[in-house]
Amino acid sequence: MLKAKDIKEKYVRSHPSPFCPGCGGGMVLNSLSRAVEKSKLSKDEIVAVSGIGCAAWIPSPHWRVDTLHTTHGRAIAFATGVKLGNQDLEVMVVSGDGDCAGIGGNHLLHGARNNVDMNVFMINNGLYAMTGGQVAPTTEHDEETLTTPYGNPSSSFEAAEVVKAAGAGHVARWTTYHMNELIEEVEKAIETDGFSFIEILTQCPTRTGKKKNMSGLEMLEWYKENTSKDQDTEKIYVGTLSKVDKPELTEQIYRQIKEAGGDPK
Amino acid sequence: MKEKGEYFMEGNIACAEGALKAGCGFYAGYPITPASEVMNHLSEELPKVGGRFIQMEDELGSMASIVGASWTGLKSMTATSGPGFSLMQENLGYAVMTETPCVVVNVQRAGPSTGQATKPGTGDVMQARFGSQGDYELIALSPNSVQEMFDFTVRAFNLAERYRTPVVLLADAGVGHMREKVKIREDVKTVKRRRPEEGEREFFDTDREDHVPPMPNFGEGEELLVTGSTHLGDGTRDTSSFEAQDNLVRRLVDKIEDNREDIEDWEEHHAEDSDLVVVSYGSMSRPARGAVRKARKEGHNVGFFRPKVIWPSPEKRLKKIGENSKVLLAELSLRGYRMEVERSVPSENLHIFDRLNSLPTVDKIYDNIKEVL
Amino acid sequence: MIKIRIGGWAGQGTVRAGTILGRSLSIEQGYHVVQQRSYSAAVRSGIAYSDVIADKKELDELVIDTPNYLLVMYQNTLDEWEDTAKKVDVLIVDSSRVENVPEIPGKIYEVPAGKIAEDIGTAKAANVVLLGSLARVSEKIDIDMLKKTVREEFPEKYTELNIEALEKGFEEVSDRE
Ligand code: SF4
Repeated sequence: MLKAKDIKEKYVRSHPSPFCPGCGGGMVLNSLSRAVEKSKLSKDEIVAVSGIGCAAWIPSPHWRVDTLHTTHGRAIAFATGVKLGNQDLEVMVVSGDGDCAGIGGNHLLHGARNNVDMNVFMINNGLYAMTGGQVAPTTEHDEETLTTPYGNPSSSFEAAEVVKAAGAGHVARWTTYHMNELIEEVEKAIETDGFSFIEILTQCPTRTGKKKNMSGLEMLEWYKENTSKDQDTEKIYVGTLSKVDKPELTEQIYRQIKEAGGDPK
Repeated sequence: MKEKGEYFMEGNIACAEGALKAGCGFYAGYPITPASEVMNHLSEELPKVGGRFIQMEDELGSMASIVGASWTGLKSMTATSGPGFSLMQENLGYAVMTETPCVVVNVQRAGPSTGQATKPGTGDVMQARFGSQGDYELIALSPNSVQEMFDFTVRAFNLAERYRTPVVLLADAGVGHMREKVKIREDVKTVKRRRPEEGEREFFDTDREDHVPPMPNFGEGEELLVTGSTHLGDGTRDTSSFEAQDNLVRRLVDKIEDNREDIEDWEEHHAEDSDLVVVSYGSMSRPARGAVRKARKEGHNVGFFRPKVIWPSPEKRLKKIGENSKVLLAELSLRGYRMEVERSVPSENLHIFDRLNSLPTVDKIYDNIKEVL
Repeated sequence: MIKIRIGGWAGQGTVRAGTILGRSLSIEQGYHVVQQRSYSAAVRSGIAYSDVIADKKELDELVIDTPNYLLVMYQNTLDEWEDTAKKVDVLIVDSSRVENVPEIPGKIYEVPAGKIAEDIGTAKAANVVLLGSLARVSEKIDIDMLKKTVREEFPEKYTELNIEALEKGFEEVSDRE
């Protein structure tokens, strides 16, 4: 097992970190790298696809793998092309909550329905951080943000539940407080031949923290206090939400190509 | 995929066959009139030659996934019409910025908005060139026959691969939905993107005269940085420096501008020595050419000019023509190509035959020629 | 130049007939041919028609203003096109489905195509019956080449039926235009 320093050496490009002090983005990058290191994957097989927002910068340019930093909301659609293009690639999508569930919601639903083999990490900080802290689909009801100064009149979107209902093969939720569990879940996602969706509640001390008057550390404390691995509590459930066996898109399409007499090489 | 021979074929099918012959390996699309036949045909034929076909959830996704697939080394394509083409614009710009070869077919219909879905129009000419944000140039081809739906699709792939850029096949419902004879040859010339040579590590900049950097695939250990943000030669995002923006955007524009000679293509008859030259493109250029032929037979001194590659526009040639003779622009829209022609032809020399909804007969344009003469 | 329009109600195979005719004239007879189809966009209902233009010379005429030959398979289509019908050289109607034919200066042929088709197996072949009649009326259209095209266009189990449809349509008309 590589040491922290070696993990960084191997997986992280030496660019100055774009993240604010205390941001959870770096922790996510670390978890992903560790999970890959533990798995049988070579990092040359990985293509990390991201959209726009703070979360999109987690892999691009920092993760030392092939990266495709795309347009706002479309990462899953780009990733679908990559996966169908070359089945041997391990496709990882890192996307913020606004990117993934807001502007990109339609691709999220259909990526899940297609059960196309990719691992989608939705970095949920509950608002649009990069642009200053506007309300997102994931913001809680009544919460104040930059654009809901009187409180969020709307209700929050339960992305993981929706993705589960849409038919994804593997759905889970963790937080940046649960690094070890998260790493294990990412390993599971890598092994899953299908659409894996992991929502990661991630602290944004700069936007959310400021509104709530919490530091990054306090937010991690909050995740600890307010989550539970037991589904029958009032707390936010963390753990696997669903794991089902169903046809995977790439597999199906490659099979059809062969049956039609073609060679998908 | 059709064997070599002569077929009586619809334009959209000829386009799909052209894609197969060009070596298309990935198609993503979304149903839309009057372009769906391209997709319907490829859904059956592409798998037979090992290509992937997927119907996406929308045109945003279609355009996105063909870019993704292109980076795995596959020649990729989508086809749509006006409303879908509008949705594709952002990711089309992304393909320009990331220098991703791909082909986007727009079988234009009468707009704006939903307009008349089965009726032809060419109101998207400017959008094809300027539809996405920022400064850029791209290549758009304008076919006027079923044969050209085949030939130009092949050329669109070749140009996309040659210049690492999206290429738009700017067809219209007129050529997309008609049937004509098409000759399919065995020896179709195809081009593939330039791959990095040993030690070549810059995939987003080059000193080469053609301004085209080499392109590796995902999965080759290059730790590629592909981004729609302004970037340096190695792909590193640079969201602030003058040099990065100036170097990249200028090169992207020059890549098309400086290779005009290779890219440009047009058809002309007596464009040098006539009293009046009819300028037209797309399906409209057929009756327009017929009208010129008729006028010449009747003894009128009339010429004909048709850009086959409409972007980059043959502006120098147009200017030359406009200096020496009157010009009659015949198009299936009110604003399609007009501003570009106005830019090159002095207003006192320029006459317009514009028409909406459907193609005119040869006689209709002929009558107009006589009026202008 | 020959300009032919085949029209009727959507689903009657007018576009199919246009394709067979166009292909035969183009591939088998060596004409320059353009075929256009026209039916409403989303819903397959209402009038559907197909235009075929053929010429020995290079062809840049893509649309028909007034056809020389008008083939009509449905009453409401003819009612709709009465003005056009008055200008054509030849009008051929499927008299099984068109009863009221207006007086026109051009020549009229009434062929019970629907009935003939039904008798040989399926009413669906009425469009092909009319093509047979057209080949009899116009000497520019070669019935043997139409037969060859039908053999290539239809799945094998339907070829004989359609060849018969062509022949019956051809025989039904006794004189040329
Ligand atoms: S704004 Fe929030 S999410 Fe973005 S980098 Fe700063 S702390 Fe992280």
